[in-house]
Amino acid sequence: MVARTETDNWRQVQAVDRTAELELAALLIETVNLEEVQPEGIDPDAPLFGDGLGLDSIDALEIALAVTSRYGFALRADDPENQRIFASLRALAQHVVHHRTR
Amino acid sequence: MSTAARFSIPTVDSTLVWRRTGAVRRSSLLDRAGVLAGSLPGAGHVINLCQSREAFLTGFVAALLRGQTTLLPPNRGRGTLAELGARFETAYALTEEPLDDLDLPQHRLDLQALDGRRAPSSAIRPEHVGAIAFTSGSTGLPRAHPKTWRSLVLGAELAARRFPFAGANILATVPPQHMYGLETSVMVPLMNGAAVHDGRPLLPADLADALGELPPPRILVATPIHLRACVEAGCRMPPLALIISATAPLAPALAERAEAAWGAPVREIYGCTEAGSLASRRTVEGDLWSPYDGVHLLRDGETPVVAGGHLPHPVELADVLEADPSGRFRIRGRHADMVSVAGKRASLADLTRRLTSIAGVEDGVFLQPDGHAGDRPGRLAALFVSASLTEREVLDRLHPYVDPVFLPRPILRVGALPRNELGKLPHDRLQALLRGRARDRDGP
Repeated sequence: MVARTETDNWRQVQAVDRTAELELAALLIETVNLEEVQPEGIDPDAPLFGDGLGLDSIDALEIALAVTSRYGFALRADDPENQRIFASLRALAQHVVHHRTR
Repeated sequence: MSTAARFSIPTVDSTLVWRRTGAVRRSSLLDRAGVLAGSLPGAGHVINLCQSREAFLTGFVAALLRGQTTLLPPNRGRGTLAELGARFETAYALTEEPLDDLDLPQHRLDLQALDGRRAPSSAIRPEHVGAIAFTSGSTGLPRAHPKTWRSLVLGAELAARRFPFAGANILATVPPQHMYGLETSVMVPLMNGAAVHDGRPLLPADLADALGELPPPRILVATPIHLRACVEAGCRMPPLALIISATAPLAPALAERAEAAWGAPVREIYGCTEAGSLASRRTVEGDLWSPYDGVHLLRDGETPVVAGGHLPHPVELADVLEADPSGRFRIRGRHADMVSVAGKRASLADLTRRLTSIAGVEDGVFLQPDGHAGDRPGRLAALFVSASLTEREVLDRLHPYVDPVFLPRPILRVGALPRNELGKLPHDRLQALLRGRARDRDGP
């Protein structure tokens, strides 16, 4: 019984994480006009910048504004704890889930 | 001031760089630069890829002391850097961390490992080529623009006469490898009594935090893209003495919002890679630019020529300028081939050549879509013809040679480009093809 509950909890956390990732992916796509990409099509572990999705620093600024507007907090890339927030969709989504105020 | 004094790096002790962890004194940085100078490879040219201001400054001064020339790469693409290496045979890269896939000798700059006292400072000859900046042109390799130590020092002097840099603390959002960044975040602190923040923040919250790490008076050196982001984000800034913007024209409406939000004047610098900084204006006061002391137009119009000031010789500019009887001027526009994306300048013909030289690309063109607003980055689009390559594959082949901001969005594969009988691509037909293909791709 205990094992099943833990598995259920783990699955539920995974589902929440995946939902957060897809929601964020949709926001990214809309914000930087990646018209040919679908949220499900973004590999959550692929780099957002350079290779992978191929975003650049201008996109980072646009994304920061969109995140503030949608999730109600300011993205910081320079915080030593958060230097990896742009490493992947997954990393950014986890950061958003942790800090969102709306 | 004697010539020798004017071209020597001042040794008056004060803070030169503000790190998050504390102040770096001028004397410490110069000592470390002296030690580094002794350990640099014997070479004529160094590509300084350091990201922190302290590291870049240390490397830049070390190169000067060794009589080496610092190359300022137009972008950090591996292909671009390899080309520079091939062109300047002994060139090596100076980096804080080893870089992968770099086809160049690397010398690591480890600030912690630089200990000891420097040798008595050797004067830097005014005619020594301290740096070489590059611009893309429509023919072949990027054009080299050598900057003598004299012109770098004089350029910083003129900037310090125009703006209250002496005794101020600067936060710059632009890289030291760009002429604007080299002048405001490297030369002015080094020569004109300012201190500079070590970092290069991007996001508005980080920018506000970094400004808070500086004592007053604070000067923000930024671009229209950064200013717009900070204004939109509603950042609370600490009291600022001055905001400087450059690299692209700043919309007066945005300047007004920034001045109202932060209670500081917003002033712009007009300049270019070829000539350095040339003129300034306070944006909200109107569209007349005041040249730096001694700088003047020999000719205005479609092919203006500027001379005097720090310029060793007259320089032709890529903008269309209109002189005013007062000695000031207005900027009327750009030559059609030159486009600006997020403040970075490129030649469409040069980008098109990069595209069509890709094996498998039969025809192609870069263009700037009509109807983009001045405040927005103004992304470029590209169309290409290929039997074998996908859009992704073409992008991957452009990536090593092109600054990321110039990578096309969208990039579209087409059956043919609408060339006319002369083989030219009429503007309207190109734009219509772009709109049509984008529409087809996105669906009804």
